[in-house]
Amino acid sequence: MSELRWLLLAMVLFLLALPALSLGTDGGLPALWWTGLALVAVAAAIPVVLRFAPSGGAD
Amino acid sequence: MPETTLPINLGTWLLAISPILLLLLLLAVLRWKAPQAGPVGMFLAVAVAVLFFRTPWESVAVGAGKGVWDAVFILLVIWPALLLYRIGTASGAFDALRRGLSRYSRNHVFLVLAFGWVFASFMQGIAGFGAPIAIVAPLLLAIGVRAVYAVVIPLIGHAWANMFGTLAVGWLATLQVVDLEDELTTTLITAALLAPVTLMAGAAIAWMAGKGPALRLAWPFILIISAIHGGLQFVIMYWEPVLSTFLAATVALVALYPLSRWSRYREPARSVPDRPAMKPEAGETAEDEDEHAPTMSLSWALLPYAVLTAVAVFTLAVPPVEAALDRIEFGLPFPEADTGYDVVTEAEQPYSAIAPFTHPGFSLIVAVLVTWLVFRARGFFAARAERQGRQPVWSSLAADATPASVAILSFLILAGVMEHSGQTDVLAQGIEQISPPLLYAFAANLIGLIGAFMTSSNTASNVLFGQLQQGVASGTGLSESAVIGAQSAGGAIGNAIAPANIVLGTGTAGIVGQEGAVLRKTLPWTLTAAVVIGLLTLLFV
Repeated sequence: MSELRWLLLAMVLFLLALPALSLGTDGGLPALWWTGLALVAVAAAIPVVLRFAPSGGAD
Repeated sequence: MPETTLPINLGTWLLAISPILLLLLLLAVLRWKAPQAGPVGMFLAVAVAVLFFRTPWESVAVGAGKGVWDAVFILLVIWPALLLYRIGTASGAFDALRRGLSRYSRNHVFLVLAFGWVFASFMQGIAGFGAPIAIVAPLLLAIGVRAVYAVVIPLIGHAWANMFGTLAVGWLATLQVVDLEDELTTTLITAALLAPVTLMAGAAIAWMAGKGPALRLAWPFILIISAIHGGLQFVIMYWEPVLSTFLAATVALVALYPLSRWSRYREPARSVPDRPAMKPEAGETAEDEDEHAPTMSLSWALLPYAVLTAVAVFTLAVPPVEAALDRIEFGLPFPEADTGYDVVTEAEQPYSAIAPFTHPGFSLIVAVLVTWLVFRARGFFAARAERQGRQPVWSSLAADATPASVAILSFLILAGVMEHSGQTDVLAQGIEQISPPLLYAFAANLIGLIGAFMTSSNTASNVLFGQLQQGVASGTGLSESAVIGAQSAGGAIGNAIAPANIVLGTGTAGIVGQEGAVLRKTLPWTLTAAVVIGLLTLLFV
């Protein structure tokens, strides 16, 4: 998968986290907001991992 | 400001500032790309929040969620702005713009100042939220400005207009969080503090266009436009602060026409040999004559900006229209969040609702649709494709906007977590506690600057720190108006170094990854402006 697609995936995960974080915290649903936090963590990890990944794996 | 039990000492202050310092280190020193540096800073902010600021994970979730929502607000500007740029490229509009403008002025110093300072300020006056950078950077590229400078110039050029730009949303938000004794004096002091900022912006941009000789050429232009920006804004404060920047920036824009008729600015700047901001091949003379004729006239090339301005003015500057459109808004709810140090953030239902029809992204989307339909009907895309091959619009858009979006999302999550964990409070209160009153007055704008750096918003900075600044002013006997004015002016200039704004520019200029190069150029200007504002503040306290 190209670097751009990985970043696109990261962006989508960040955005998917939004309803989970809002509805999870506002509705008192820990499983939902933990899911949101996990999505944020994975999304944020993608570009950092890409930086250190072998260049053949990206683009 | 509600009482907290946050320990304010050197250790907690250094911990609180560590995510910002790490971000600066990665971007400016180690030259990481913003989409990579942002998440690392974000992870550190979360770690500091949980490990040292007694922040429950649920409060981290609230801060992160609000950060994503704040980023969505900016992404709604950057995606249509980039699409407009790509449509312009695929239709040959930028080529036509460059060639057409050369008929009015072939003076690169004039053109760089006109776009990078005057037009960027006008866009900030009406649209804001990063739109001036996203719109002006491609225009500067089209007239031959190097990519890094195409981002640096509007960042500096629009900064002064942040506080009362976007029809003074920053000022209106400030009035929501602080109860000012003398609103007029506060606006006048703020305008007085911002006046030298626009002058410094003009001078810095002229310097980039050609160092000393460009300054000698441009000084009447710089003085006239600064007088209009700063002077008119100051005078309009007596009547209606909400319109102060918009009207001043509009008059400055109109003043460009008579200035372009002055031979000093109409003819090529032959006396300016050294041009740091310009590409070596940037033309200003008759060498363009042997190129193909552009695909469209200058009037057609300016269509997107005319539509953009018309829609923005209609939706934002006509009160009944704005009031009607503002009724439609949406947002997500967030509950109250607290920490072990009693940092409490109130519940908001919804949080920071977006009114889609008065959001600057709406004007951009209308401009995109009208431009695409008209350019397609007139065959501009086909004509361009015939000469230079078909230019991919959607894949180029994704390649530009995606890395910028990831960076902006991570920056604003970082800011949200810092705010909800009390790290932001510690930063501001730490400066307050160690500063004697006069030193605090001098440094008050730095607090606004830090807030804008974190959030890329003058408004958000004032909402974050307005109460603190007012509290310190009343506790130390300093002038409340002067301290709030300094906070506001600091918030304005902080936009020139805010990573989210920089990424907005590098995304539209096609140089994602060179954020450090941009920051290294805007940071010295911003710090110099902060010193000037600090010294001027001392006159008013």
